[in-house]
Amino acid sequence: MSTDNLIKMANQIAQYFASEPDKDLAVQGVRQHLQSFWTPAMRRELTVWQEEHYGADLHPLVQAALTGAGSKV
Amino acid sequence: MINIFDPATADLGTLDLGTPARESEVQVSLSIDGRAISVPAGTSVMRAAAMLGTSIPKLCATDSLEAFGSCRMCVVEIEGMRGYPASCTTPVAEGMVVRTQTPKLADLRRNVMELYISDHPLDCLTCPANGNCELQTVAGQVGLREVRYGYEGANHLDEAKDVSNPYFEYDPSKCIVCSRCVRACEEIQGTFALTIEGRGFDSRVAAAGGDNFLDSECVSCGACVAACPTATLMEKTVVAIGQAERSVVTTCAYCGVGCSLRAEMKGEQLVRMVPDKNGQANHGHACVKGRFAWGYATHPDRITKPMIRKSIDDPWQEVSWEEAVTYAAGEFRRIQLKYGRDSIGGITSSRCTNEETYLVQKLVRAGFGNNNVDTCARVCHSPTGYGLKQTLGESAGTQSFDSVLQADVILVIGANPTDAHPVFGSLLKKRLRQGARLIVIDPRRIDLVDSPHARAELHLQLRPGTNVAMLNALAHVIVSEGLIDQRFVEERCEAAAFAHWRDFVGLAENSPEALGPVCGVPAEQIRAAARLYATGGNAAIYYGLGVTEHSQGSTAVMGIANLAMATGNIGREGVGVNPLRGQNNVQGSCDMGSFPHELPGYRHVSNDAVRDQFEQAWGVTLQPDPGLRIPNMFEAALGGTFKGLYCHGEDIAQSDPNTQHVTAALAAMECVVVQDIFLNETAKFAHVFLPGSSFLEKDGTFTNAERRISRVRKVMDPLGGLADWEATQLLANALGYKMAYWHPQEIMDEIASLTPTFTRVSYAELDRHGSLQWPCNDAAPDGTPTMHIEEFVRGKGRFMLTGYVPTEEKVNSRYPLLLTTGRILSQYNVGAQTRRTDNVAWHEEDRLEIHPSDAESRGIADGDWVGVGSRAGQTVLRARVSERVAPGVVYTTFHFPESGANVITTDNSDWATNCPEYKVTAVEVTRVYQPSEWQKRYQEFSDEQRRLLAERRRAEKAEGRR
Repeated sequence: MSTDNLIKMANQIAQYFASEPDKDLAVQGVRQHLQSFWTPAMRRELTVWQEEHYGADLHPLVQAALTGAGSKV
Repeated sequence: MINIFDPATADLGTLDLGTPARESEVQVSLSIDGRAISVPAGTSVMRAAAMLGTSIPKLCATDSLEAFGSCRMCVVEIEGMRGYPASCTTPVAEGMVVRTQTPKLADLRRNVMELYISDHPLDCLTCPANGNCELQTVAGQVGLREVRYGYEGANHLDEAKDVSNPYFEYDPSKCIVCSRCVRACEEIQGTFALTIEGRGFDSRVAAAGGDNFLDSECVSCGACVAACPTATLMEKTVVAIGQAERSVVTTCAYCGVGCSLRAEMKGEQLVRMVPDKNGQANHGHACVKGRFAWGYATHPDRITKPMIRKSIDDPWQEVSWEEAVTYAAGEFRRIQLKYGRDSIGGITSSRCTNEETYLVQKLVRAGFGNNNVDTCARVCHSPTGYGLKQTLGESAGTQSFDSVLQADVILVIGANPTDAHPVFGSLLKKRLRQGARLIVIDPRRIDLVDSPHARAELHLQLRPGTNVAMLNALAHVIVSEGLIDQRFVEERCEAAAFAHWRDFVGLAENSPEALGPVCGVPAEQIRAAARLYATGGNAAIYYGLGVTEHSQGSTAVMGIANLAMATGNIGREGVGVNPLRGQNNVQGSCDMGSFPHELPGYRHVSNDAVRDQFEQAWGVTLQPDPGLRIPNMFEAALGGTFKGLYCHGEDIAQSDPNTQHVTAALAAMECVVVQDIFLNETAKFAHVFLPGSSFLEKDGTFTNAERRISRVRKVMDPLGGLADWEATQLLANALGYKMAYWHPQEIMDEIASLTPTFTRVSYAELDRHGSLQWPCNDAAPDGTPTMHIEEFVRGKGRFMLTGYVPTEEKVNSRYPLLLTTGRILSQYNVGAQTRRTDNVAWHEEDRLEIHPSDAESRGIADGDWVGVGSRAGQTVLRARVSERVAPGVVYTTFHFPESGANVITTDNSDWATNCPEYKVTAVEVTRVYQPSEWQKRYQEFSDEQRRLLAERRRAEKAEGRR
């Protein structure tokens, strides 16, 4: 799958949750959304990309959602 | 007036009681011809008599229209009243004594009838209404035996017919000027296209705005034809083939209104479709599509034999059903073996029945062993599913259509009901004529903004892509001006989420003064709209794809739900949040578990208890993770991991955005199985074609936008030999997953046993009730017209934050205009059905609407060919210069594949659901003289595919029909 598109979609999700002033809740929102609506393959692909590229281009909330506690993919 | 369905009197379905029902708590007793009856106050004497089984002769009265009192046939004698009052216009009174049959009345009626007949052709035996003519019936009732005036005097017998409308003709020589057609156009349809021209003897029916019916403002809904008591307005099919011999009640297969229709049949031949008076969604009304545009069902383009081919460059080969499904199953298994379990998937059809969509998702989950199933709601109302689930707890609209008749303020946002949901549009206009106030939020001046006797008090003509900014500004006004319904919010909603939301929308950055310029709407208009919505009484929101098909579609849906909760406009009649669903069964296909993350009844696949229940019932292990959505499938196909698709009655190659991306994905797959009634655009990329069946050819149910489950009844055998559910079952069995249903009702029983909101739904209960609105279970055995009455489905309503994030699709100097897309009344979606009917008389090509100032600066005149280019692609359309669109905005429809409207749309999508952003594409428009490169390629490819179809090899052995 196109990584560019995965990044774009993940960043759009983060932009929605960015309205939430509580950062922990925002991260949790992004993480839950990815788990509820993305296939495991898509999540894996994005995680691998983030590990290889140290998160460049990824919204901070997505980075946190993919790495923080409870971020099983 | 609305006729309420009563199962006890369902057999009266076609009986005409003369005047509409009245509702009243006061019962009035009277005597008619010596028999006593008690009826609600306000009922006419004519209706009361009819309820006793007494038929008073009538011509201008019919119970779908208010009494008019012009024909003088229905006169009666009433003790204590002078003269001979018309029973249609005389309301009952307590103790009234009525006589409907006396020698004097007989004389009066016969004399009037004699005058009518002196100017009426006496060609009953060859008249198309013969056997179904009210004039003929009444002449018989009154015992007319002679016409003393003769037939030589001045008359209208030589007047020419108007046959311009493709579906009905107007024969003025047979007109008795009863005005039923004129009144139907006003009261039922609300278009006001018909009038009576001239006075006295010269009075004639005329259609306004043109020389004939086709050129006039008539929208061909057929209400006048249904109301006509003679052969004056008559369906051409009846003229051609005569009166029907039986009728079957079924449900329309076009939009999400889901009108109940009576299919009038002669053997297996459909003579005409008439709206069913008992239909609880449509109450005896229909539109140009449902009523007339059914000819596609037997169009010669129908493909009735299964076909296969190795490559899309090969000619098709006709094979038996068994060979076709064996080949498809073999390919699917081969692909899974080579590329993995998740390398194939399916798309359920929102045009098929609930039973059929349920089977397709079951086949994917149980037969394919993955969750790669999706449906066209992905590209229309998936944000509704997400947004309403988050806020209210259930992925569906909150009201019945009839609820609009109790609304005081109606807010229409991103919807065009009079074009896309015409029968609901008529109901809405009726309410406007009764005095309800209308706010329209739309980039385009839709008909509702300014039409006869229906006008928007406020039209907020916002820039495409700014819905969320608009909703936040409206919320800001409600919060900052103290217009919150505090009691409702405190009792019904989560306090912390509300406080959070209130603080957020209360920020200065969300004020109309800040966001108005973003939307291109004056702040004062936004404030006025918010005040009207919050304080005008019962306020109802109706929205459509103009809300959902945006990068922030889901956010906008939540913004709408927030507004309704904040003002207490939810949980009773006359209010609510009402998504106008696009396709006939898109609500149903979503209910049936067509989304990759949800099992039937909107339950997430990760829920162990739910999965366990389905695993037991289906005898398989189900995957706990979501599968691919449609756009993900395309991405995966281009990435080489998705290789096989079972596409059930959906034309993704035309309907989905960024066509070239879609077709590249289809071309990258190794096995595409298309099940459809026509060789559609997607089928041109298919390796297996399974003939679909139209809604006339099978049993099942559709669920409309008000959650109403209605029966679809088979009136003819499937042209391809199998109904769609049978074909899916055959494919499942070929895959080694056993299915053995003998009738769709058995499938519904399985759905009911596994879905808590459907527990009490069965074909027997549907027959008993006429239709049922889910939830329909032990808590609500008669269904649920209005949701969230006592509490929200999720318990407390949850306010969600709705930060405005501008779309990435922005105008610049290269693409300075915003393109938005939509539908037109006469055509439906990708047009596969309506393009194959005479509806092309109203719309034979897609046009690009452009504002005069934008047209002038580009040297474009009305009718010129213009190139429309975006970051995704280019196409060429003809221009229509129109002030319906604001400067800077252009608009088109997507009903014709060669228009390539979706060649231009991008694969930008809603953040939560990937619903494509059809409604916002930055484009440039230039005058051109030839088709676009894409159109040339499209034409070549289509011509080649048509050749491969025409040269299909016929199977040598006989077709394997079951």
